[in-house]
Amino acid sequence: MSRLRSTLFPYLLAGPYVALFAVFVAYPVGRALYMSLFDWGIFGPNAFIGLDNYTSLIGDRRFWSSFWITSGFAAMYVPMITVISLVLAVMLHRKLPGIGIFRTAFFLPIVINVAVAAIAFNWLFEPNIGTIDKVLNFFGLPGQNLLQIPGWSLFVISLVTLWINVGFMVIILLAGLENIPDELYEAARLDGSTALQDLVLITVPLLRPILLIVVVLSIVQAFQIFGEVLIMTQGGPFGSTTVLTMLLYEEGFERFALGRAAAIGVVITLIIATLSFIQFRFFRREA
Amino acid sequence: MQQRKGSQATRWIVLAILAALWFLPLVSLVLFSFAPASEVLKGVFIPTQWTLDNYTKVLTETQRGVSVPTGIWNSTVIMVLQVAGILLLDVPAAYAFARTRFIGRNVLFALVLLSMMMPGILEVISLYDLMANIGLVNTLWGVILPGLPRVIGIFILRQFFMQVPRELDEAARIDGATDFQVFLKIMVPLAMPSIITVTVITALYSWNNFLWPLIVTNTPQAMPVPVVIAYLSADTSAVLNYTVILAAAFVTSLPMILLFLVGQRWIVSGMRPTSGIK
Repeated sequence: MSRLRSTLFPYLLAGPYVALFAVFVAYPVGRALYMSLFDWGIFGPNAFIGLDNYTSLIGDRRFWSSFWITSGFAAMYVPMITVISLVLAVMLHRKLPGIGIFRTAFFLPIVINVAVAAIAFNWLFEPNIGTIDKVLNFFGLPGQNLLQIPGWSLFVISLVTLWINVGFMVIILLAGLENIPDELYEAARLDGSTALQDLVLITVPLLRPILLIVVVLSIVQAFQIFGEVLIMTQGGPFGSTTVLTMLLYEEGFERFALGRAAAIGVVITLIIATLSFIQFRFFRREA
Repeated sequence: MQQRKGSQATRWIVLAILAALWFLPLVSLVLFSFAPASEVLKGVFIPTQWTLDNYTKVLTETQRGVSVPTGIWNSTVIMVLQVAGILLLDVPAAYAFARTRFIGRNVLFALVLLSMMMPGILEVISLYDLMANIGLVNTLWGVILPGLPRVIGIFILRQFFMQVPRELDEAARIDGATDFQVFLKIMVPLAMPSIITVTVITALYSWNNFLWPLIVTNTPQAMPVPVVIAYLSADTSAVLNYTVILAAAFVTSLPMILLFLVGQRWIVSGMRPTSGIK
């Protein structure tokens, strides 16, 4: 009897979680794949169309435009957050007067939701009345309506995403820095190394596995960016910030082409998986 | 370790400049949330007149059919139920994954980990379809349920349970404790620091989660805080004063700012790669 109870015990513990996981994670993923094979409207499936949702994306200008916009966003965001979070982590690693306030500055945005962050930046960049324009005016320069200029608007959105996420990356990197022995830096100092040499020759090589995580996570973030765009530009001006997730949102919840939207979701997942895989392979081989 | 001459001063100045830049968006938001709308047009960096009108409006009036107090209430209910639900699900499941043997354990855990890599956007379409079929669109349960199988808590707690020495439960078993007693009387109390970490980062996630609540709620009565803010901000025309939106943004962020001030070390420990990522 107690033997039987011991055998069943793990199932009782894990069962409820596994059941919810099956219903709200595994099933929706499977169903997304399934839906992507259908012409699926607001009232359900109209027809099985095989891979047509995917093949039609290949010929769709809007899809490629979104793909390149998202890639462009990643090309700005990933290097920016990697470099800035590395520099911040290195500077925050050792004691300094006021370091508590500095940490707070970079960690606080972690608890601010994307809607509030987007509003804060909209307010900052608001034409004429926003702080950025006031600073420009103060120096006698004309105000710039950056969120209304294609190209610039995507850059401003990357700044918001950077502002939100840098603290998280710094936390990861600080944990990595703690594992680098101080003796290495002391030895390098005796040999007369500069701070820059320390960074390039000791910190970066030893931090490589953690830097890899930062790069992969920030690519994943870049290809999923959504809330900032929805609130700040709604994909404009002139569609210049219609990233892949915005395209999915429009197809799914504005045009109710649910099968096609599901296919876009699958494509986004494949892009993220491929990029992460390449990163891990590439870095591991070099390490 | 001894630092280079001058390097500390340089470090301090660079950090101070960057920190000021990082504070700027919130400081500017908070300053003008206490200003009358007329101040906005004056071209001043800091308002010259102050008022609580924006907060009175936010807390007592309905804006575009949306009431901020309703949003705060919705978010509170969602947060309490999600935190409680996630703890009740995750602590036993993480223990099972870490310290018991059962059929399919490794495959299941691999699937759970794999799902961490899945972008949320993959699921929104099919999940919405599912929720529409079971009638949970525009309900708080529609927001709450899909958040319950979150992986991070499982991950952090499993890491903890794995490093508890075997001798501990063996000793208890010799004293005649049952499996369940070992779990509840020995393991759960030991795991308290990890449980607090999971509680804090789950509370954060619940309050701030945006994508799924946006999809599943479209009537103002059902919206949690971030969706309310997004909804208000969709109209920054003359209908609604900008300063009112800023006040709404700040007042709805306050609970999490307080949580940050009290629980910063748990937030940090929940995000370190040794305990978990994301």
